[in-house]
Amino acid sequence: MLMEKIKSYLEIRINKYFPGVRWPALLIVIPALLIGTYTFLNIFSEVVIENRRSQMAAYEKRFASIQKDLPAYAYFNYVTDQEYYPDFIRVRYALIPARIVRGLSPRQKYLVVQNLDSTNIPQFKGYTLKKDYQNGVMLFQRSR
Amino acid sequence: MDLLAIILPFIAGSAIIVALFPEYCLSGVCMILAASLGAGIGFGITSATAFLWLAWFDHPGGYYLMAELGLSVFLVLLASYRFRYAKNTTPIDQISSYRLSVRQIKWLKGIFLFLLIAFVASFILKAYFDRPHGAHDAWAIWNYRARWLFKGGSNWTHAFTYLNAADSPDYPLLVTGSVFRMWSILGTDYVAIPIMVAGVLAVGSILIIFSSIGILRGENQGYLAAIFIFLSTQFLNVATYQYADAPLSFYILGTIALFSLKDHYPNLSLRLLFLAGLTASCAAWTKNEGVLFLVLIILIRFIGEIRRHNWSGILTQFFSFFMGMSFLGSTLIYFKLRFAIKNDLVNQANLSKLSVYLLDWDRYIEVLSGMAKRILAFNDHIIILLIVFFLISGVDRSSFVKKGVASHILLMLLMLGGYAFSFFISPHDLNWHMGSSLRRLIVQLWPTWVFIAFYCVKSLEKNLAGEHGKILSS
Repeated sequence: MLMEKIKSYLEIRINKYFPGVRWPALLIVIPALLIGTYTFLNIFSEVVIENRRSQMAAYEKRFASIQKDLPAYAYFNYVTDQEYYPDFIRVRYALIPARIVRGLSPRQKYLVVQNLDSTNIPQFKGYTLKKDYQNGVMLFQRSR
Repeated sequence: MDLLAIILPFIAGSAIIVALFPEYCLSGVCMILAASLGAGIGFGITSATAFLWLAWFDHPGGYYLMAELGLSVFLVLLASYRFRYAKNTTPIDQISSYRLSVRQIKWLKGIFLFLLIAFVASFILKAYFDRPHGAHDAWAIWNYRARWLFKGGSNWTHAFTYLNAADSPDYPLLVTGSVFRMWSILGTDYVAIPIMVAGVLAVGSILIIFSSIGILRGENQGYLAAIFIFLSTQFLNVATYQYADAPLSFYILGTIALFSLKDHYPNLSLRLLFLAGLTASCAAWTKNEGVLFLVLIILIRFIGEIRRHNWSGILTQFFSFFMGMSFLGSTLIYFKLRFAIKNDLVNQANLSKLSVYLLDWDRYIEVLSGMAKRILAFNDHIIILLIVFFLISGVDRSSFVKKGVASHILLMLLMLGGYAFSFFISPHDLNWHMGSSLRRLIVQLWPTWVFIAFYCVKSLEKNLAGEHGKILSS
């Protein structure tokens, strides 16, 4: 009896706010409204308030200046103090159409260095510094 | 010129659909379906023409744009001619009595529109401001190759050289080619271009679900199905990555929706099959999983049907499908033979170890339990919500709904089987391989599973529960 009463009360309420559909539809509609709104607000908060930006955009910006000093299609060596693997993939993408060789072997005419964790200019045997871009990125040229 | 580069794929793709269905395409939900599928087909065709132009002549520039403009003008003229002189005005909607008897539920439409706007706004914020270059595979594979094709000059084939297994240089070129085409015509590599390609195909998937379910089961059911996709936040997330998984889900869904329409409107079947051939070949031109989909759909929908139909009927239908897939299919074969290097999974060295992999029972358990676990956990266990909803709502057992649905389910299960097989023979660490790819593989099939579920479930309008079959048969 009580169950019947609860059921009919709920039905009246559902009919009032969500007329025309059977109640299982609400299993979708209500969570979708909540989650859709929450997702938007969450992304808005991340992007607009916290100003979150992907690392790749920072790489593009950082390596834009060195790109014009690297001959197109040339191979270059790349050394970094960043251990995270995608670092190499990001630099490879940012410096197209120059072609990246990870590490110092085989040796190419140019060496691009990313040194973000220290202000010292590293030394590489057989290479001399050609340009320091003052943002952790340096271009070395083979001296012999 | 900038605008032309962007709108020509939409114009060309939509014109093909209007030319095929002049009597239906310019009204109601059919127009939404035509516009969404048209955008996807346009991307498929223009990505292939841009790639072929590069391979045979030079980088697509002014002359290429002229040629593409000429093709689009021709298609638009053909569509206008077909539209003006279409004599066959049989309405597409054999269930119009059903549709007319049910009024549109306004609040449902309101919620759909609200969530659509929220989805688009979330996508733009996330894709344009937070990750304008996409996620890892976008700059490792998809946009990486597009940038090489665009900036590589005479060395553009470097896009397909092998540096490591994750590069996948044999992946087909729909996404890459679309981005490359627009960058080449515009003369600069705007970050907005890959975002636009990803966004159009993601929103297109939602509109295809809404419009195809709307045609088959009524607009209210279409709104609910689309609203369910808004619940799947992983779909939004993966779309912002700028990978090929969300685009592939668009083409798989489009093909299944077209086959469903074909099952119900036999007078349109050859034209629908031509279009399904186009979308299925777009799937194959998007990602290697799409090639599996193309093979399976031919096996199930044509070879598997031979017993039930006569040979000549099947051959006529297959010819129509084949004509639709011929351009992109042959472009794909040309790309694979001429440019793509060996795949990291399907290659001689790996296949020689096949017997070792296939006789390793622990591997089966690891793969199947890993897949089951990840499928259940996908998008915060959303599959449980779908199952509960499905069980509570009940299946519509009308002959209308039963038509063709078993083959869709079989196809989707075989796709999952294909993914499981790729893990069985994977030379990579299984845990890493499944962890890094299974979520995206589920996204490829998710909109189609949602389409099938809402196609099968009983009508959710109050006055129609259980009456769908009766109305249809009357």
